[in-house]
Amino acid sequence: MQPIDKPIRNQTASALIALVFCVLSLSLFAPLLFWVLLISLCATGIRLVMYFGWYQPMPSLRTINLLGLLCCLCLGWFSLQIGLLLTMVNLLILAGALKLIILNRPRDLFHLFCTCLFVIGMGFTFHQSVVMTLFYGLLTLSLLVAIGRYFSPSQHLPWHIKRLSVMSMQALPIAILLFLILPKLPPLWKMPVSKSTETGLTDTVTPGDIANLTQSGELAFRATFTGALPPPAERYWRALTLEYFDGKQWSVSPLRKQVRKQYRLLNNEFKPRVSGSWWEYEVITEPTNKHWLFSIDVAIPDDLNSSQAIWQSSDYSLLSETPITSRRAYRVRSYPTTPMDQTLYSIDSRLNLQLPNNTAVNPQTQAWAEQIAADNATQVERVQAVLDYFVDQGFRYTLTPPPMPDHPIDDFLFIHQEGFCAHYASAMSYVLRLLGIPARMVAGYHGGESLQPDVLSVYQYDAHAWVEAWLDGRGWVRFDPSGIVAPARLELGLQQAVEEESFLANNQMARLQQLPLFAELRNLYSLLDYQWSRWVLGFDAERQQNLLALLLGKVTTQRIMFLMLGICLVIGLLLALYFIPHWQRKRPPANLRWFLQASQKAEQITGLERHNDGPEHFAERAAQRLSPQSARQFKAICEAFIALNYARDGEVSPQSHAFITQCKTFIRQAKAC
Amino acid sequence: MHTDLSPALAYLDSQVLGKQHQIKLAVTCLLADGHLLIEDLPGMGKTTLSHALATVFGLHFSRIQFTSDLLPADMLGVNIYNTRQGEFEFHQGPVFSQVVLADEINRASPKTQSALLEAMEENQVSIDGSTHSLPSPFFVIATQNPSYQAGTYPLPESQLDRFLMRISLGYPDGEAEKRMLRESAGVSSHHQKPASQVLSAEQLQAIQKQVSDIHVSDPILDYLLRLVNQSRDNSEFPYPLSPRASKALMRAAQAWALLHQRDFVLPEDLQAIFTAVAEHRLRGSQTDYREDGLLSQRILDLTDPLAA
Amino acid sequence: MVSRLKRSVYDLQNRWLQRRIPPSPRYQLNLKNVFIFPSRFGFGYLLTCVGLFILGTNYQNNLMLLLCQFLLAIFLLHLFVSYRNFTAVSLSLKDIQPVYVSEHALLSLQLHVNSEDMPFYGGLHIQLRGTSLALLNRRADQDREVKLLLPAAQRGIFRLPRITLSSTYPLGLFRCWTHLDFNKSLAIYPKPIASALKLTSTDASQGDTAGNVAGIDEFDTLRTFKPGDPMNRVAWKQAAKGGELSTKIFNQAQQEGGWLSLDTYAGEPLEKALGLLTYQVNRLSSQQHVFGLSIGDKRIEPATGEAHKHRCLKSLARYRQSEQDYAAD
Repeated sequence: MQPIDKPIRNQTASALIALVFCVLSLSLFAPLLFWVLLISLCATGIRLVMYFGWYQPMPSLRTINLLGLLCCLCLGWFSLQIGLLLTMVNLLILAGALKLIILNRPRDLFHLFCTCLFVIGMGFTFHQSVVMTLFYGLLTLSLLVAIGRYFSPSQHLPWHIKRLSVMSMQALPIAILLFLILPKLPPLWKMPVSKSTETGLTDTVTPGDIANLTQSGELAFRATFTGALPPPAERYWRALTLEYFDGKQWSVSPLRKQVRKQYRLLNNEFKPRVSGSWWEYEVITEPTNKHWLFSIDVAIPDDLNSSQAIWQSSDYSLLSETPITSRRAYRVRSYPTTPMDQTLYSIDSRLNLQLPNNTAVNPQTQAWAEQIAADNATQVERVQAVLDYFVDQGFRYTLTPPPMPDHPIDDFLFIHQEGFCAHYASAMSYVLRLLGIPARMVAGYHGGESLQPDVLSVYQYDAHAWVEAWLDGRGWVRFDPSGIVAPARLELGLQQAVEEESFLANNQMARLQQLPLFAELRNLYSLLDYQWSRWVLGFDAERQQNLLALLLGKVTTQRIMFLMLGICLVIGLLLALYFIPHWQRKRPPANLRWFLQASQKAEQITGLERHNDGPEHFAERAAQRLSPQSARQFKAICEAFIALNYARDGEVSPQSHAFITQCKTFIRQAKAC
Repeated sequence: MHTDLSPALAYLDSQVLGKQHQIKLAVTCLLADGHLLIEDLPGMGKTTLSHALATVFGLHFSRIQFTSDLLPADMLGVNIYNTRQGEFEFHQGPVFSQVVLADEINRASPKTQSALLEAMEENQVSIDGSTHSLPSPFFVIATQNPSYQAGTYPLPESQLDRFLMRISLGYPDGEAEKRMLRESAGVSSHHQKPASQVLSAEQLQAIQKQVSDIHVSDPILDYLLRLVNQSRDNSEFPYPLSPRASKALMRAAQAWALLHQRDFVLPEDLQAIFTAVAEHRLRGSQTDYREDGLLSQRILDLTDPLAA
Repeated sequence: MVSRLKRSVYDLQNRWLQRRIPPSPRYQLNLKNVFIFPSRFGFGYLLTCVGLFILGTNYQNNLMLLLCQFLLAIFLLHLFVSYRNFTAVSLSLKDIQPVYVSEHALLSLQLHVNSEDMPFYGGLHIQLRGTSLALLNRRADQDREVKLLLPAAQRGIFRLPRITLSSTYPLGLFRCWTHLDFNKSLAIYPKPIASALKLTSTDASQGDTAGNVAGIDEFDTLRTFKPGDPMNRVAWKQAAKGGELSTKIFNQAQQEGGWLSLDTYAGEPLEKALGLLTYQVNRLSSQQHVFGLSIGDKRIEPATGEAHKHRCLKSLARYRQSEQDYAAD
């Protein structure tokens, strides 16, 4: 029939949702393809232009369909490079942008709303910090405001913001209850993961890689210890062992992968026998999109849940069953004094005596190794000889070593004699292998800042590499040549070790860190972030179980049922709290309340109805049917009420005790005649 | 405290038998300084009532019979050229009385009606540029015959508002009518009780002044507003009550309280005068209100004076 | 077949509604007469929540799960908010003014907010049940009324079907609705067709001695002034010209009046005849003329005034029409 309202393009709702969409796509700057971002910005622009009425005609559906087709083709092409997850995000944004352009009917608005919600959800795969969560929370609120504005356009925007903020505040406790109680399911199926290059360790290490990592101040993981912290020198966080050397770079041995696969097939998990004292701690790792986990040797999962999620590999490293795509918490126990001699020597030695096929690389080193072998008989002596060489020759520890392209080990050992942990570890492992001692490079982190007395934060710049060698009778023994060259690296951390060099040189933020206030703030923020990851991001099935156990004492089906009922009750109570005050009427003043009660009593006794009689009339009517005494009382009450409520000097006290007593007496004693 | 009005009421009761409530309303209307519209069939005692009212308060009374050819001048008066003195002389019309009975007001043309209503509103008459004040107190009792509408000009709703109250005397009950018949049969008409003046016009004016001193408490004002709002919020009522109506209600309730020798208003006072004050305002020009009950009663039914 | 099934389901529903929400001139919305169910958009929203849940579970991403649960909580709150909002009003329907065929009747639904602490917000969608007549007023909270124009295609007195009102405040996830029967009817008078007045004299039985009747108070003649004549009848203009005083004589209004009769137009098609009579009823009423109407075997005694006019027009509208439900087409 007659148009009664502005078309959608002129409604604030459309402009609002366009703005939200724009901000949302900007927040996904990294995962989005540049042209997708561009299209979404254009769409926002078009929508705003329409909203302000500078240009009215809508692009035809045909144009948009064609554009959509084109975009899909492009995206199909790009999807080969960027992987499924990113393609999905891009597709969502693309679809949203096109919808935004043709936004015309209410239905389009709803579609866009749902798409935006979904994109916000996807956003959490990329950003999980407190700040970003708040940001996405605000975006969600703005979306709600936009849609609320559509449904009641006669109210002002601030009104909507207030209303929906209140509603969101009311919804939060319910959401948190649901979050705490709804069972945490394991992944239903495998999801595509992001291929984006994350900072962190990789499964192949060329000596330069780790040096690059030290330029990054990003958090790698945090560990919360139940007891005391391990001494700084013991904080070797193993991530992965690199057992294959091709002359230039170290990588995870393909053979080791195969062995692991076989073991998995047979479900023959490596269970090291542990002994001695231990450290118990929980690690919350940042997403790496890789399988490996961080732990101090020798680590075993501490509880059932962690052990289900963790596969212990026979190289003493821990592997997650699923890639770490979001912050993940697990509990482990480390037994530092346990000897690492429990694996099969046959496999380990075969893997770790491997030498590069190309013997032409690093000839000097090979010659030097032969010489050492000639000079020293025992394994221990040979190892010591190598370590001594580093000390004697005055090797330097530096983050910016010169490039060593052709014969990296030769150049390092005999020409430059300066380098980074990976250089040392790589050279030493290679020499040991040449000497007939099984040796491998271990990549991981060393050190950690103490955030709280029992919490260590390990950053990317703590990345480290060291050597493990198999000594007969002792098993795998850890050697850290860079620690010998620069002992400060072990004791105080990287920062002190390379103080003269520009630590975190590229990082502008690093300079700011020198300011005490900033350091304080940063500390505060990392504390907050820590608690956030620990309690929100790390709230998994395990923690949920603990919580339930804490609440219920013992987790039985029956008790869970009760708990569920209880939760429903609590939610019901919350709802009652929110809504009942609105249904409640204002309480009348006490005098009136009591008078009404008294007359109700009179109505009951006499069988009369007051209808809308005033006090005087009703007193007369009721008095005829009340016993003489009650009639007197009731008349007195009515007179008193009139005096209190209507007379010239009445109404000073809305609550007269004498009157109320009078009413009470009447209610107690009233009798019919 | 206040002048006792019961002798006056007693006299009126003896004149118009069995109509205590209507008499009280009429007196209330007079006390509240408002004008009265009586809607009744002929022969119900309208004239008797008006006459008695005038008598009892010692007021000068005149009666104007409204007909379709009655001109404003016939009622208000005319300037007539006095040839002897050589100037115009104002001859007051019948409206220059303290109590005016405008009989069958709906028979006159709208022009005449509005002349009267204007006089009622302004308490003065303007003729040929000069104004003439009406006497004080000035009380108009207009009557309407509801049943026969042909050839009449019903008062427009905007002007009905000028009457503080509309009442209807109706038939007397059997007992009263019998008494009336006995009186008129047994005693000849000139043997009626002598016209007795109970109060003077000055006293009446003093009482009218007292009306506005009657205390109206907050709960009463709330109740009044609830009544009025009921008519505004509810589309059952075609003509919602105006602020003027609320003022009229309050004043009438005050006068009613005074009549009952109280110095404050009770909900019962409002209820007693509500129909008389509100019904004609709620109805507008639709006069056949016997059809579906009283609108004002409906409002009273919907509103509890003791609600918080 | 399908349409018959639909029809019977509709009737069944109607009977049920009749018991559940009996007709009333004014409704206070409450649990008894309000229905509430997620809208299509609400289901879409739930689907989004499910998607987020699956995504969150598969990525083991607590924030996604939290978002999903937050949205669910909003959904739950929405149920109560929309119900509370919808029941904050009571509704009444203004009398529908009668209209002539091919005009539009105005359905005006009044919203009354029960208390100022609990206002009503958002729009209202109004639909005449069983018809396609519908309108969304998104500013109903401001206007405090919803209007719907009903096309008048056919003369007659029609029962107004139930009015379906729905609200989707605040986010459109739930739809609150109710079907109200205000027990009103809609009078559609025949379309007036202009023509000369044709009144038959006093009684229709005396045959069709049609003749024009002069209007009331029309000037007729002058005669010499006699003392006692009312002053307002004096022809002052003539007197001013220096002539004698004379009195104007007017035609007395013919209080007995004439009759309008359908039989006058026996030769015309029925609808046209009714249209002609409609015009004449209007014309005579506007002249405050006294007239009666005889149509078929129904006779309306001569009278005048608005009420009389509508009584005549209603009987014209109703002639040979049974009372039925209003249908949009």
